[in-house]
Amino acid sequence: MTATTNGKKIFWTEQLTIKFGGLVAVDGVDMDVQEGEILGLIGPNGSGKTTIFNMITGLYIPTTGDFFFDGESLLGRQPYEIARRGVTRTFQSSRLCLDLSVLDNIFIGMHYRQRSWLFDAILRRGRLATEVTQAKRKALELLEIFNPELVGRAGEPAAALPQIDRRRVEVCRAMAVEPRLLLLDEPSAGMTPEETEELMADIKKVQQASTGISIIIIEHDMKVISSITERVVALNYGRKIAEGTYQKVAGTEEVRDAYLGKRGHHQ
Amino acid sequence: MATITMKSTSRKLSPAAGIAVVLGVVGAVFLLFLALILIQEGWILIAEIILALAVIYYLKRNPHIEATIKTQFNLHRGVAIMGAAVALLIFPFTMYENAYWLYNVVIAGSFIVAALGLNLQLGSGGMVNLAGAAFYGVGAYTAGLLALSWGWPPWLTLLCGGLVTAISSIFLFIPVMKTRGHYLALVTIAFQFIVVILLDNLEFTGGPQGLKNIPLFSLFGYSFNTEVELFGLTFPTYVNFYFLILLMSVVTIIVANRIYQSWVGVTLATIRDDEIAAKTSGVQINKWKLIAFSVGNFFIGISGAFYAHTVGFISPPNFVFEKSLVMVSIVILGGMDNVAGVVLGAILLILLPEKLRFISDYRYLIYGLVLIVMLIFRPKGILPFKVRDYLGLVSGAKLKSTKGGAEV
Repeated sequence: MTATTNGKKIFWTEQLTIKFGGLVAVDGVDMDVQEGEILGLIGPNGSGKTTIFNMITGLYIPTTGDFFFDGESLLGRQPYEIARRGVTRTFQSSRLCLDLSVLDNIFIGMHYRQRSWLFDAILRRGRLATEVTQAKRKALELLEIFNPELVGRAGEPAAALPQIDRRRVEVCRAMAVEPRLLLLDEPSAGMTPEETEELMADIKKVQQASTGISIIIIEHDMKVISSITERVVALNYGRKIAEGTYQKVAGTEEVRDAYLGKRGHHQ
Repeated sequence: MATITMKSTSRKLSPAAGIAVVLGVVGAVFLLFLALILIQEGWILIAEIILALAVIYYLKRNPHIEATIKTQFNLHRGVAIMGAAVALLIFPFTMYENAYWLYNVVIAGSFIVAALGLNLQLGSGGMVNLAGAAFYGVGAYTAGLLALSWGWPPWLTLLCGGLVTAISSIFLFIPVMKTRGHYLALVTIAFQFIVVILLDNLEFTGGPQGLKNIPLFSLFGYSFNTEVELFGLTFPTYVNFYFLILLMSVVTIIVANRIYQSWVGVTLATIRDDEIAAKTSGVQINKWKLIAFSVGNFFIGISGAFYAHTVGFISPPNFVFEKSLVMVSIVILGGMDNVAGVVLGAILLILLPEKLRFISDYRYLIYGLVLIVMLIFRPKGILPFKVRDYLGLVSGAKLKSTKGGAEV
C-alpha cells in the first residue's frame, strides 16, 4: 500500500442520515477520507453505499447530519456547486451521452472553466477556438493515461466504444473537472475480471498523475478492494459496521454476517 | 491499429472535375426544386418523390459514389456555397408570374428562422416547447402594435418582436424551473391556449378581427410593396420580401450553426441526453435551459414580427396550436439538433401541403401519412444528429483522424 496520505482530512461526514418515508436508507454514518487516500466503501446490496454518493454529490439532501469538504460544509449545495468545488463521480450504470463524441463527453467536465459562451460563440470565434484547442489537448492527455488507443477514437460517438472504454471515458469526464475527491460507483460492474484489473491499474495511474487526489470507491469485488484501498468502511442496513484496513474489516464478525448471513438466522 | 472504421473510399478527381460534380449537384437540386414549383400539375410531385427514392437507393448500393460527392463538397466548399448563392439569387426572378408560390417560399423562409429557434430548445436542449405559434404570435402582435400605435419603423419592431418574445418566455420559464421532465411541455400547451384566448378577447389586440393595415417593410423610402421592374418584366412584390427573409434565414443559419459548434452546443446536448451527468459535472442546468429557451424564442418572435410586416394583417387563427405542432414536426422530421436538417424540414413541411392541393380533400391525410412513413424509416429525422467536429475551430480539420497531440 502506498503511503501517499499526509494525515489531513479532506472530507468527512457527521451522522449522515437519510430517510425515504419510513425507510432509513443511511443511518448516522461517520466517515472520513484523507488527502491522497483511496477509501473502499463496501456492503451488501441496499446497504446505502450509492445513497451516500448521491448525498455527497448533492443529488439527495440528507434528512439529518452534515458533510464537509476541505473544511467547509456542503450541506444543501446544488450538485453543480459541489462538482465545482472538486467532488466528482462516476455512476454504477454508465451515464455517458452515447450520441455525443468521446471528446464532447469529456468537454462537459471542463464546462465551468470555459470563458467563451454565447457572445464569443456567435461573434468572437477566435477566442472560442483557442479554448477548444486547449480543451482538446487536455482531453486527449486524459485519454492517453487510460488507453492510448482511445486518443485515435476521440471523435467517434461514445456509443461506438466497448463497455470498458466507456467506463474509462466516464472517469475521464469526472477527472476533467479536476476534482480533489473522486467517487467511483462500482467501476467494475459488468466487466470481466481481466477488464476490472486493467481498470484498477488505470485508476492507480490516474491517482499518480494527479497528486493529492482522494478516491472513494464502491466495489463488490473484494480482490479489487484489497488490492487498491488503504482503508475500508463497511455498511449494512445503512449503518457503519466496521472500519479499518481490508484485512481488519474482513475479519470482523459483523462484516462476515452481513455478507454471509448471521449464523443461526436464515436470510 | 485498425480502430478507425474504414469508410468506403472516394475516388480521386481532378479539381476541374470536382468543381463540375459540385456545381452539377447544386444545379440539379435547384432545377428539380424549380420544376416542382413551376409545374402546377400533381404528377411532378410524384415523379420527384420516385426520383428521390431512386437516387437514395442508388447511392446506398454504390457508397463510393456518395463518398466521392461528399469529399468533393468538402474540398470545394466555397464553390458549393457560391453555386447555392447564385441559385438563391436567381430563384425569385423565375417566379415572375407566380406570386402565390413566391409567397409560400417567403413563408417557408420565415419558418426556417422560427424552427431554428425551436431547434435550440427542442433539438439541442431537449425542451419540448408546444407554444411555438403562441410565441410567433407574441412577436407578430408586438411588432404590429408598436408599428400601428406608435408608428415605429418595421426594422425596430422586428427586433422588439424578438426581444419581447424572449422576455415573455423568461417569465413563463420561472415557474417551470421548479418542475421536471414533461411539465414544460404541459405548461407551454397551457400558454399556447392562454395566448390565443387573450388575443381573441383583448380590446387592444383587436379581438377576433386582429390587427389590420400593419405597415409593410420599407427601406430608405423604398416600400417593399412595390412591384419589381427588371429586364422589361414585372415581378411580384414578394421578391422584396424574399430577399429580406433570405438574409434573415442566412444570418439565423450562421448563428445557429455557430451555437451548435461551441460550448453552448455541447452543454445543451449533455443536458438533453443526461441531466444528472450534466449537474454532477458542474453544469448549472436551469441557467442553460433558460438561455436556450429565451434565445430560441427570440428567433421565433422575430419570425412572427416578419410575418406581421409581410402580410400586413394578423388575427388569432394565425397563431393556433396546429401551427405549434407544425413547428415541432419540422424539427423532429428535419433532424433534431441538425441545422441543415431543420432547414430542409421547414422547406418540405411548409411547401408540401401547398403542393398537395391537387388532391384538395385528402391533402392533410397524405401529409400525415408522409410524416408517419418518414418517422418509421428515418426515426432520427431526414438528417440525423451528427457528431460535432468543431470544423473551422480546431486545426487539423477533422477530429476523427486525430492522432498525436497527446504528447504535447
